[in-house]
Amino acid sequence: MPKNTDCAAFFLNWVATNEEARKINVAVGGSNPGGPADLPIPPVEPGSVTEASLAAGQTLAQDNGAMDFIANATGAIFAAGWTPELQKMAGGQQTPEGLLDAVQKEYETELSR
Amino acid sequence: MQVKTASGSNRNDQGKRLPRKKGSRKSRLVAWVFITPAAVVYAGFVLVPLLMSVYYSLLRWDGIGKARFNGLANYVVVMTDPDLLQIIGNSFLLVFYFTVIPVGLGLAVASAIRSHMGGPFGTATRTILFLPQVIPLVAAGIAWSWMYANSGLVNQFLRAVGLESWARGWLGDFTFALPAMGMIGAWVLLGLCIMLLVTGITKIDPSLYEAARLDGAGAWDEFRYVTLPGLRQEIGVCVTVTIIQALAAFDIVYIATGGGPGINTTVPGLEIYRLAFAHRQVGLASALAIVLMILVLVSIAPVQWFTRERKQ
Repeated sequence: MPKNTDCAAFFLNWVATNEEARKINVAVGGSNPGGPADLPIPPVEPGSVTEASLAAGQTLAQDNGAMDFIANATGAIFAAGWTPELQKMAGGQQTPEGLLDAVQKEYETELSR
Repeated sequence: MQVKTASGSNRNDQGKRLPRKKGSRKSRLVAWVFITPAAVVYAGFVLVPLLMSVYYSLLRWDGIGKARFNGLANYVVVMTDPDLLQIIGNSFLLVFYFTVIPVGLGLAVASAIRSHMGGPFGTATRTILFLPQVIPLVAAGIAWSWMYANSGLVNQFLRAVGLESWARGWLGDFTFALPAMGMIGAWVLLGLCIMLLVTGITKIDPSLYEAARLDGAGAWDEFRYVTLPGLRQEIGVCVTVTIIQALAAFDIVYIATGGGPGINTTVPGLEIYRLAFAHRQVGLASALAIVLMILVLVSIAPVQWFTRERKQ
């Protein structure tokens, strides 16, 4: 059992919930500070990309729509499924439902090979 | 008339030594000794891997575990999967940019600087246009991907001349990613084509041009009836080399777009790499590689036949 597990747990909790810590998260990392969805997001420069992505992150958290970082997927499905289909969706050639269908189909094809 | 001298060697009437009869054992042994090192290296690094690829293409194998014999199923997949067919089609589209543009522009430039070959203008032109060949393809891909960026040189230039509506993220555009990447290849291969064509054009007898001009030929006629036939061999080499580069392209694609957006710029070279190392489908990757090799041979065979040495 590692030493100071309670300290580690307290720190991880603090990083996501303490107001000052959340400000540092956003200022230095530019990313969503995580933690409970009802905590306020620290202010950023209005009209910046960071502001838009933080707002989108809040919506995701409230809709319970977050998923794992796609680069954590297996190399094959990432290169053949997620990446091309996400690019098509961003370019308007694919719908979100179509994306999930295509990824599922690619997964099944890979399993069959 | 051949006579055998007292020592047994062949000499003609003037006493000049004639070559030994072909097939004498010593000369054949010497020939083999000279050929063997190169043949061993060629066999070991080219022929053996080729045969192994053909063998792997008949298997279903992940590269590490047990292999299962799969017959021609991998080839059936290569011929019928719509994504793989689109990928093969992309490489043939690249042939236009990698072959037609460099060879066409090369012919134009070579004809234009024909008369200034020795002077500083000719030398400067040849040097500047050849420089891209010296740059590693990866470096060229990285540099060009910066130039094609939204705020990169290409868009800055377009905005400066008032073509604001043409400015876009070239390598991320579904329609223009492949042409944009093709232009990178054209830029790299233009130097090679110019070198070959310029060398060839200096071999054409200038008196042919004089004769053509005396007969009243214009610049275009000179090009069509003197330059082009004289450059037949060089054009054949240029077209062959550039077709191979187009069909086997990997570095530029991997660096510039990674195959995206979607699969609009994925080429067989890239897909073989992904199938073998990401999907761990060594059999399918080998089958695609063998199909690519056959396509390359089928594409350059007509070129070689068309530009072969004609018996005078």
